[in-house]
Amino acid sequence: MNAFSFGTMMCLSFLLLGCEQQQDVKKLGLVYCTETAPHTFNPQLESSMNAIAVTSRHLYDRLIEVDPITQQLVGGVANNWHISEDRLHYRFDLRQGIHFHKTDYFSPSRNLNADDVMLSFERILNSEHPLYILANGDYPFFNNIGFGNNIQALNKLSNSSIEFVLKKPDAAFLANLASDYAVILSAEYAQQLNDKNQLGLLDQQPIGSGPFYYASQRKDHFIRYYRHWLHWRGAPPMQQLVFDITPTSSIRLAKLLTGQCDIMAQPAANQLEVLKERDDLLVSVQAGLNVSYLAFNTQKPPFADVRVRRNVAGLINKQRIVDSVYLNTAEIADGMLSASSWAYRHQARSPEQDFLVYPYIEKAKQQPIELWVLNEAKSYNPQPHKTAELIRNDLVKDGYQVNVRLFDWEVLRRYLLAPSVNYDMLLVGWSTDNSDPDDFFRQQFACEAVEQGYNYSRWCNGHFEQLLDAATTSPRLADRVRSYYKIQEIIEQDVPVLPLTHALKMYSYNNSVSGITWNPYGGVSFSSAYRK
Amino acid sequence: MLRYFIRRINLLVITFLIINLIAFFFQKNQTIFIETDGNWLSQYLVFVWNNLNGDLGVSSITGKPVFDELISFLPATLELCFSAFLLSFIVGIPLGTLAGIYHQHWIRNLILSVTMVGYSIPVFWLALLLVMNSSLLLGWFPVSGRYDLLLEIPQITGFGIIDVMWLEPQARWPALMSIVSHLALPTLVLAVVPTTEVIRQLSNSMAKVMSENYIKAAATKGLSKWQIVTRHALHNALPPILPSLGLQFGNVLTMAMVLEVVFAWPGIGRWLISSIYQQDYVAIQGGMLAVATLVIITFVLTDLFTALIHPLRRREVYAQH
Repeated sequence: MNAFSFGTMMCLSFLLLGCEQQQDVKKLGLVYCTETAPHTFNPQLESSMNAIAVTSRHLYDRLIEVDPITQQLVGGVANNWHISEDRLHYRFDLRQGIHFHKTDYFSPSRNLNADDVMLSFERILNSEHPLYILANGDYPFFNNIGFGNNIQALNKLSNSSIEFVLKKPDAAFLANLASDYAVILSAEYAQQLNDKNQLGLLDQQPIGSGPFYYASQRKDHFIRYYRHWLHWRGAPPMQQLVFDITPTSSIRLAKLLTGQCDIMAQPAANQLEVLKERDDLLVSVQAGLNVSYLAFNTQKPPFADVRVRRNVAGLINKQRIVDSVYLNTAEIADGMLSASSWAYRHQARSPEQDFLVYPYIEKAKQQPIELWVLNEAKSYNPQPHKTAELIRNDLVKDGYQVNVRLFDWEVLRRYLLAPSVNYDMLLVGWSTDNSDPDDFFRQQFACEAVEQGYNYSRWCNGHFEQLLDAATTSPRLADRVRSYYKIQEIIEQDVPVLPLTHALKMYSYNNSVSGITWNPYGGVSFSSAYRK
Repeated sequence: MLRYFIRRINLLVITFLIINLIAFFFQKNQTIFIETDGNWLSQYLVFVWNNLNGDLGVSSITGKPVFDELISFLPATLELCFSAFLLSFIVGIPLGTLAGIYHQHWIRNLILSVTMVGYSIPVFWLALLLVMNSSLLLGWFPVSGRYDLLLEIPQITGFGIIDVMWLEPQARWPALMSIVSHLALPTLVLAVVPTTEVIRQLSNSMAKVMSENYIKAAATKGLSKWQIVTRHALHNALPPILPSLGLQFGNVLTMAMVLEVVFAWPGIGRWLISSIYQQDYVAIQGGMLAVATLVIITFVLTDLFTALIHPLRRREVYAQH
């Protein structure tokens, strides 16, 4: 054997070695293609469901969880809980032996205990807490549901149990604690950062007790998690979990087709045909607890007048939106809640229009209507721009003038929080975070949410508020259902928003991956995912 | 040479100041900074001084200094541009030479018409076509991205090909292969326009050189065509076109930004575009300043380099013909 062929052989064997190693890395890693990166790794501070899907279920645990199949509440960090007779005291007994993540920036000296739970909620409830001040008190989910307003006290009973004392009974309380937002942080880590004067890192370099821990990230490129060996449910089979940030939907699909990604959320409707042709790709479909709707700015003419709102609502052809935007991967929305919610009330379709010419309608047609739209796909609306164009087309046909303006989510948030908001219509939507309808209505229609910029129609109705409170305080489900029926009736009559569609919740993934948990509320979980 | 050097540096400084002035007025109109005391001239000088020190402000979205973000994104873009230029020289020089030698010959016509076609194809369209065919249908190259994300490549210089060296020896090969296969398609597409430029310019320059008397003298001496080209012609035909190729850098950088979006390449183009969507004016302004400065510096450097190796270039500046 001469030197040359020896060299060639060496090179080849190196190459093969390399391949083998690459195979190993592939086998123990999972790549999830996602459209956006989270702004923070703390779900308490986040409002976008897409961003939370990247953090909450992987990095953290919650006090209680919703079983993905039975939809019953099951123990999480708390292994059992006790509710007092008057339904005001909730005691949680914490599980022993839950380990926090050990990373190169933090190594825990103790297991999870009541202090960690206290810190996680005190930072939301106590407006003098340094973390509350640091976050400007901006906890979108908790503020919208008025979480703090109803809590009398949060007590540490022992090292392994805590108690919430409520001001009035709240039927949605447990469901809120089981949502993706109510995560448990490490008090020891917070203390350590505080000593170093770097408390801000708590939400950027996360420490939790979830199945994966944070390893590294590159902005707009990827986020990498490693397996948490000491997770209390057992270590996940996958060694690495990588989130590949690819904003363009067609590129995400292409990556899925070529195997660069293992799973992608919300494939576009027109991509389903392509996916169907491939034997190695699967699609998971769930009824979506979401709604896409057109919100009217009820604090400003012309839509301060309910008659104009009704007129415009009657002009919009929802079927055409379902056909051409969703390609039939959505249902027409009669009301805000989709049929899969227990409080769903079947409503009549939009009332017939009479074609008389009223002066107030004529007046509304004089001024151009500002229609604001998000320029990114959301789980409830894959093509907001196209939807807006269809709506414009419907309205222009009837003599209205419509200007469509596109916004990035961040920019839109900034405008919505500004004191003078000058949109007339806003095409938005909502995905639920938990199984309770209270959260759904309170976050979008409560008077409190107007200031927080989540009440997109800026609609505030006293009767509605009363019913909402009645619904959460009544102990019997039948009474609650009745209240929610009335609530939906009010929305139907007053038309602060026009519900358009309920999109199906879809994921497409490679069939070599098994064991992914599809949570009906919130994101997927990979704690038991493995590669065949 | 010294005079020439000073003149060029002068050009660099003045252009830099003008770019800063534009950015300065843009900033004044946006009123994104707190107004400092003094008249606008002193404000302007402070602005320039800050920019020179790398203090481009703090991004209003991420809260991080714009300069740090630039440094983390720029290498990816430069890696793409460098490899595209390299490819365009490797392909362009032989073809341009060929077209230059065979003056008024079908070979020249063929090369130049192919070049024209290449020049007219929009890059993003070509990129999509290539992704469609070579990635999705044939599976030769990855669709997009910079490397297989399951491989962990540290970010030290920011240039993937160099950063691979920090990996363990047995992980180096697969990582390098992954980087090169991801780099292939964007490089290919990005190289099209500079390649056509090299070919067109070189063929003209070559044709001019080939009609010179010293080439005829070399031919009478009995040198073969190959020898004439490699020893005399190419040597004289290449330097005059270098400055205009240096100018191409700006063009390539712009196209790289478009391609970054198509190929989900995590470079400065994607960063700038997302900054525009987020209305992050500080980042947009910082990015524009950095890109503009980079383009002028490249131009002046290639120009100086040309002057260094090709004395005739200096004469043009002295207006001595």
